Amino acid sequence: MEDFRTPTARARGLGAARGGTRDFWYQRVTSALGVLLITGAIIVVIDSIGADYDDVRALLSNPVVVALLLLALLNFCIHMRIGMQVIIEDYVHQPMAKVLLLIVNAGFSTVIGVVGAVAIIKIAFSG
Amino acid sequence: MRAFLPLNFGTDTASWVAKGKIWNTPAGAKATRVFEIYRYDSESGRGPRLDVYHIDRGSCGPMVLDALIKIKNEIDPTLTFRRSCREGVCGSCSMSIGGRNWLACTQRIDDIEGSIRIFPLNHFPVKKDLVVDQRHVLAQHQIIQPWLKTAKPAPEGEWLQSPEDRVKLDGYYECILCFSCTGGCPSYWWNGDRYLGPAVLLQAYRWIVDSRDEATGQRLDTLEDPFRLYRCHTIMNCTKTCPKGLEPAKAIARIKAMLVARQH
Ligand code: SF4
Ligand code: FES
Repeated sequence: MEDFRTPTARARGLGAARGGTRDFWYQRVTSALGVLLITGAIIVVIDSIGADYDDVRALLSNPVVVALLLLALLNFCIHMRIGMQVIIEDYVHQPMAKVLLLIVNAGFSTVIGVVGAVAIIKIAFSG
Repeated sequence: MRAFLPLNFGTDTASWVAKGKIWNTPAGAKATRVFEIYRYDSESGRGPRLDVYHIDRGSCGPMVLDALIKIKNEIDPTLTFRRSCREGVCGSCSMSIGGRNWLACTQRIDDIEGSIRIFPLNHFPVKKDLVVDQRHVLAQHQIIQPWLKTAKPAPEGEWLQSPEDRVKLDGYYECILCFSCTGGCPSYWWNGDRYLGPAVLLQAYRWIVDSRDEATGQRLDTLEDPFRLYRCHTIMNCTKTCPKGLEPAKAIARIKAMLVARQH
């Protein structure tokens, strides 16, 4: 089909969405916080190498440790959702496929986050 | 890998560049330089080809544009390209030279080793040879309203600006809209229909920081969009390929910082 729209109409398109700043900002903030939180989480994991279930449960009974792991997970999931969304928007141009992938992406990040959080909380409260 | 990647990434075979004509070395030339130049006519129905020209370096000016003019005048008058000022101020002669977008009139022949490959500016649809269709990017430039916008009527004399505020325009007002940067931006290649690209965003910033302008917030509104602005992923090709030494990436980062600042 020939496109008879003027260059101006095409360039203006649907106008400015008045958005994107929040995702941009969250992506920067979660990068910076991620360095701290993931380092903390890795230390917890290294500390638990070779430990049995009771030791880990004891470690996770400490509220600071649980909070650290939950925050690291939440931070990671937000960062992952935004990062993947940018990639999908960059490269997937077929509208249906794009919307579908964006939903799958948001769903995946949410499920990973919830499952991870439940697992951590379960261990923490199992004692 | 071969199984997954189609030849030339599956591009239309009609756009593949064929070998073109080889023009003979001029008689009596001592030092010659070889130019391989992309030739294509969008109305011919034929695909593009790469013509090879041998230029007598001794009778040619120092810049790539001198060589192009020499070819057009003395060897092949059908070669088509844009140029006007021949001194880096009009922005007409930007093209891909030796793999980098630059102005033909400010690129020294002797700074390039071996044969010199010249293609039209990356990404833009080609009309003929080195002339590309810039209608879309120029329409995008109109979106940012590149003129002083004020609610107050114009004063008798000039709009006043302090020297400190004037300095804020340095590095931005010099842009000549050659679109080297925009043509070199991968994000613009994938999403140029909606992403405004580095040149237009640098121009937008030039008006956003202008202390005399009264439409700053409105200008930011126009840009606040996941595609128009936030497709910039700080790849920095723009800064590398600006023949005026400007930094579109910096301008874009500053626009983003302003949009964050007005949220808090
Ligand atoms: S910023 Fe530089 S490369 Fe981009 S259009 Fe302006 S002068 Fe050309
Ligand atoms: S001819 Fe004007 S910039 Fe090259």
